[in-house]
Amino acid sequence: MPNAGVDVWIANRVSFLDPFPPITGLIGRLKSDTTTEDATRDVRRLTPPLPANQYYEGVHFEIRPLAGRDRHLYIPLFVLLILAAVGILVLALLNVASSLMARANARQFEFAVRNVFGAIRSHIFTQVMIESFVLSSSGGLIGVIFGYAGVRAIRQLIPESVGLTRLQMTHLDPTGWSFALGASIIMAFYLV
Amino acid sequence: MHDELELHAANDPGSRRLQPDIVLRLMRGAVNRMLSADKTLVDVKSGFRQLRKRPALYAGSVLAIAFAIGVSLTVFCAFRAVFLQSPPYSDPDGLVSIEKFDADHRPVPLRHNDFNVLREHSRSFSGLALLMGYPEMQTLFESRRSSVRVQRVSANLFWIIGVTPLLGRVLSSPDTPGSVLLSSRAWQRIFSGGSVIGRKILLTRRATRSSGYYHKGSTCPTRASMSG
Repeated sequence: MPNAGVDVWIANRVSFLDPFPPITGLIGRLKSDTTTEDATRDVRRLTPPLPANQYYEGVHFEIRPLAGRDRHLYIPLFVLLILAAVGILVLALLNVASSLMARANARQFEFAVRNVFGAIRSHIFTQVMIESFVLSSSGGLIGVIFGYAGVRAIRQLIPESVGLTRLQMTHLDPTGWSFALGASIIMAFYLV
Repeated sequence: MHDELELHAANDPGSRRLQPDIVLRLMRGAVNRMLSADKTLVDVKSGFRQLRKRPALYAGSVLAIAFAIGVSLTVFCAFRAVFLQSPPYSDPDGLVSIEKFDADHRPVPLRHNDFNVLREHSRSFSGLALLMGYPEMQTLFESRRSSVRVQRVSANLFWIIGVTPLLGRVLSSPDTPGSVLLSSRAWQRIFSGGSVIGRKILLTRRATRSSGYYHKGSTCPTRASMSG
């Protein structure tokens, strides 16, 4: 698979200085009427040639779809990342909710005055709701900027040598913005 | 409101006059309804006013929310890129990686003979391509040296994966002397995004630089934006 960390590709030429460069990958395009299972059966019947000085038993070829070939490498990393993100989200919510709760206690007088002037319970609820939306949408907007910086950092800081080349495809698009919007709305409901 | 007053009067045939408290209540309801359109705007303004009243408290809250959303968004985008998106190749489902294992399912290095066996005897592939070494080399362009990662590939690789370059053409034949394909990043970094097609660059191995050996460079560099 062409690596995202590569700067220059050269068509192979066998040089007298380096006649057999090491192979790092072998990629095949299946015929239109061939499935991966068919191709697996096809290559398993072939015996890989082995040099005389190497002794392996039962050497065989295997085929893996390129699209999902290296996903298993990312599972431990993402378990860790998702746990960290959920932890940060919960901590931030608890922190903000406790601050707002203390503030709401201090605003009892304000709500009482509004009540005297005719505001019913739903009016006060709506006001608090909108304040939460203002807070969380402001946070969401700045969060998108943080997210953009995070995505750039992933693409630039993770060394290519670790082999997690799929991370180089990380980008922020309308789906990401929708995620931020959804997270802001859920947070606003939680904070009410 | 007028209709309601008339309705109330009609329901109370014993009195042609309206009670003052009822009128007051109806008027207050009408005013509330008229103001309801602006009410949301007023509440939004009130929300911002609350933010201004306690800037430190709310700035802390906004930053906490922003940080949490920023981290979640970054993880979400990375998760999506890794697990939910297909590689940027034409018909990626038709692309497979061929690997070699021993009886204990330990990977065995691929060799050029394996490529030859598969190319000659397998019936499942419309094309096979090789990826080879991944050395770091030096480029010399207009008396500037830069470090680059180089990958040798079989010339049909880009045809197999179905990628077209942004400018120029893909590698087509190993017999084309010294043509290379540049990544978009290298094009920006080394050549500052200038015109490079047809210009010469020199590529040299680090290990052989001191001996004065230069691997011959390019006469027709092109660029491509690739990832995967």
